[in-house]
Order: sequence, then C-alpha cells, then structure tokens
Amino acid sequence: MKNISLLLVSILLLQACIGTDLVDDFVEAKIVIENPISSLKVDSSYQFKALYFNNVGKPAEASFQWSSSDENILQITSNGLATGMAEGESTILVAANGIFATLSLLVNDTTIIVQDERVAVLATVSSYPLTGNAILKKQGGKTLLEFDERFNTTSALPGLYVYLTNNVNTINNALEVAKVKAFSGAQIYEISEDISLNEYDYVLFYCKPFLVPVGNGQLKP
Amino acid sequence: MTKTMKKSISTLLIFFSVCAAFAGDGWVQPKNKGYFKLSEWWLIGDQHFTNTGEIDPNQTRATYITSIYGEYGLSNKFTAVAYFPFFTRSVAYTQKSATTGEIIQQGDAINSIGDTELSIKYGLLQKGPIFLSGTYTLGLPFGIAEGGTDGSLQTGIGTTYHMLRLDASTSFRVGKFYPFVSVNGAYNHRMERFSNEMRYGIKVGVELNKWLIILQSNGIYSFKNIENNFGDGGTTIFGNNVEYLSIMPEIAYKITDKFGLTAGVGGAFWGKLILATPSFTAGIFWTP
Repeated sequence: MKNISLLLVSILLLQACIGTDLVDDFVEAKIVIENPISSLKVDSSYQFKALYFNNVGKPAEASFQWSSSDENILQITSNGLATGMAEGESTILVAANGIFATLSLLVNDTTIIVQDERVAVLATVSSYPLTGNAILKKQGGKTLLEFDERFNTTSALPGLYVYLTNNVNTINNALEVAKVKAFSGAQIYEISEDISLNEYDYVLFYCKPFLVPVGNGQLKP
Repeated sequence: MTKTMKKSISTLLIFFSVCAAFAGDGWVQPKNKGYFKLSEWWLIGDQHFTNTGEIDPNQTRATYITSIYGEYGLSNKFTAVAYFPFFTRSVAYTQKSATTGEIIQQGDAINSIGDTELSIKYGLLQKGPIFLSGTYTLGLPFGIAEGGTDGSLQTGIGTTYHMLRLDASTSFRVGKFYPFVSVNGAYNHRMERFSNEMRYGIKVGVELNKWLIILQSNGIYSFKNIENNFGDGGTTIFGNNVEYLSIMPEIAYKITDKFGLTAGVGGAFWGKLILATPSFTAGIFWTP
C-alpha cells in the first residue's frame, strides 16, 4: 500500500508542473526612419521621425541624434528637423544606443515621399506551404495589407494568423493583423492600428494556438 | 526553424494511450474472473506530424492520463470492459524569452475526467489454438473539447463514438516457451465533427518466468469524411483526421500471481496531425 501511495504521489508531482519553452527571439536592434523621403525642396523643412527596436524587436525609448553628411546641402537639427539649403545630395544619419540608420536624399525643387506601399515576397519556413506576395499600403486614409492572387498556404492548421513584426522568431511584440480568412487567392485586410509603412519590416504567418511558425516575407523597400 | 525549445527530443515517437485499453486480444475472461489496471500515460511534445507527414516544431504540449482499465467475465462468453481516465490533464508550456528572460506567454492547463469507454466483448470462436472475439465500444465524451484561455487545450474529443472490433489470437510452443500473436481491426464511427476511422494492430508477446514481454504495432486510418481537422480549437492527440502507425514495446512483471507492474514506451514512425514525440506508460495490475 505504501508503494502504491508513493506511485500516486509521484504521478501527481509529475503532472503538477507547467514547463517552460525558451524562445530564441534575439534579433539585432535597429533604428527605423519612420517617414523617409527621397528628395527635399530647397528652402523647405521636413520633420523626420525615428523608431528604435530593441534586440527582441520591441519598440523602446531612445534618444536620437540626427546629423547630415553635407550641411551646405541639408541641415538637420538634433531632433530631426531637416532644411534644404542648396541643390545636391546628402545623407542623413540618426543614431541611438550605439547603432544608427542612414537615408540618402536629394535636395532639389520638390519634396517626394519615398513610397506609398511596400511588398513582401512570402516564403515558408516550415513544412506548410506559403507563396505569393503581400502588399502593405496606404489607401484612402486606411492602412491595408493585401495578398495577391498567387497567395497560397495551408488549411491544415487550427488557427493561422498574419502579423506585422520586426522579429520573425516570435509573435511577441508583433502586430496581429487578422486570422487568415482564405487559404488561397487575393484578399485584403484593414489594419486597425495607426502605423507607418516603415514601422514593421516583416509579414509573418503563425499558427497562433500552437505557436507554429509557418513563414514570412520581408517588406521592401 | 525559428524557435528552439527547452526540451529536445531526439526520437520521433508516439503511441496512443487507448491502445492499452484493448489488451484483451482474442481471449475473453472466464466467468467471474477479471483483469484490472491502474496506469499513468503521458506525452510531452514540442513537434508534430503535419498533414503531409512532415515534422514541424510547436509550443510544447503535454497530456497526462491517469486511468483505470478493467475486464470482467460476465460469463464464459461475455466480458465487460471499461476504460475510465478519471484524471486527465492537458498543459501548454509557458513561453519565455531566451534573450531577455521575460515571460512572453503564460502557460495554461486544464484538468478533467477524460473520454471514457464502455465495451462488451463476446467470444465468437475457439478453434484449436485460435481465439476470435468481437467487441462493441461506446465512447463517452466526458473530456473537455475546447479548454484553456484560447480553447486549444483538450482532454477529449467532445463527441460520442461507436466502435466495432475483431480480435484474433493464438498461442504456440517454441521450445519451452509459449509466445502468442494477436491481430485486430476496428471500425470507429464518430458522431459530430469527427471523421470515421479504421484501427488495426498486431501484437506479439512471450512470458518468461515472471516477465511478460510484448511488442505491438497499431495504426489508425482516417476516412476523412469530415474535412475540418481541428474544429474551432486546436488539438494534440485529440484531433480529427489523425493518422499514425506506431510501435510500442511493453513489459509486465508479476510480483505475485495476482499483482504486477507494467511499463511501456512507444512512438509513431509515421503520422499525420498528431504530436511526434515519445510517450510513456507505467501502471499496476491485478487479477482478483
């Protein structure tokens, strides 16, 4: 009887614990220029904004320092307000926490926003299929994520979700866009959060209930 | 692979606990005789067979089933059989960042009675050393089909099922030993949300003094008459359209004529939509 009691106690102890998975979620920290332009009009100003993402892809506070490679062409204040001085080409640099990002732009007769959409070529990282393109764009005041007609993935998973993220190793800190509605063909999802097109660099597909990474695509440019 | 798990499992194994509930093979119990077993079965898996039979990683999931299995001879032809998983626990592991040490997602667990089986077994034929029996099983969905914070934890499939099964067994002499061989086949008709399936298996065993050594292989073929693999939630071993082919060695040791211990480990060498990781069982049995 004593042995049986020991066995039962051992069974209960075995079942009692909830174990822990260690998620390898390291990524290089980075700075993103949130609102890039390709050219700035002479004698006009433009306020640049930047975001800092730490080494798990999470937005974090940072003190940015801005500078210009040629102040005769473009001057920029320490808080990112740029002014076109003369026609030519300059590179702005924004630095924080030991890392930096750069942006080359022209100073000429017009100010041009870099892009109104970004495209990701989707690819699987698992045994589940994932093909097609995802387009992140601004349209009619809305931010949309669109899959083109070549989009194809699996219906075999219990909950396939699409995210925007800067860390493809985890859905932690990712922006959940939606549960995938259809597993092939063109479709559009409206993003409820107010985000810039440059805030996230990846479109990520994950089986949310079981945390199965399915695939992703890097948004370009 | 983008995520590494704390627990690393090198072999791609699995077996299904319910197999233990069909240990009677072609033989039936004599009148007023019985066989009872208290056992624990557990599986902890961080990878799964996909719908195409490949193996992919997932959040670690664990299932623990503590059960009583019993056979009792109502007559020399009829045997009543019951499988009662009186405590079933389903667990999803906590997710912790290896970079920052922060908890990304808290773990989750549910406890309940599991799906229970009541069977009646009939001795159809005894011809020389060959024994044939037929069994009807009623599967009762006492487990939780969608539990936990996101509905993905399960201790049962949530639907009733009816299964008809044939077992044939024989024993023969090899030197001073009497090994046995059993084969079985079953048709499992499941009600809502789940496909019907065919189950099959083969078992060989031999008794060596106080030891009984068994090697069995079992499989499930899904007819896939219900397309949705998962319903609204998710699953580990309770999914729809699960298929596998497993092999499981098991040993039993008789401490006395009426009391003994069993232990086994098993795993699938092929499967679909089921965790691909070893599972284990240990128990005590008695034959009053």
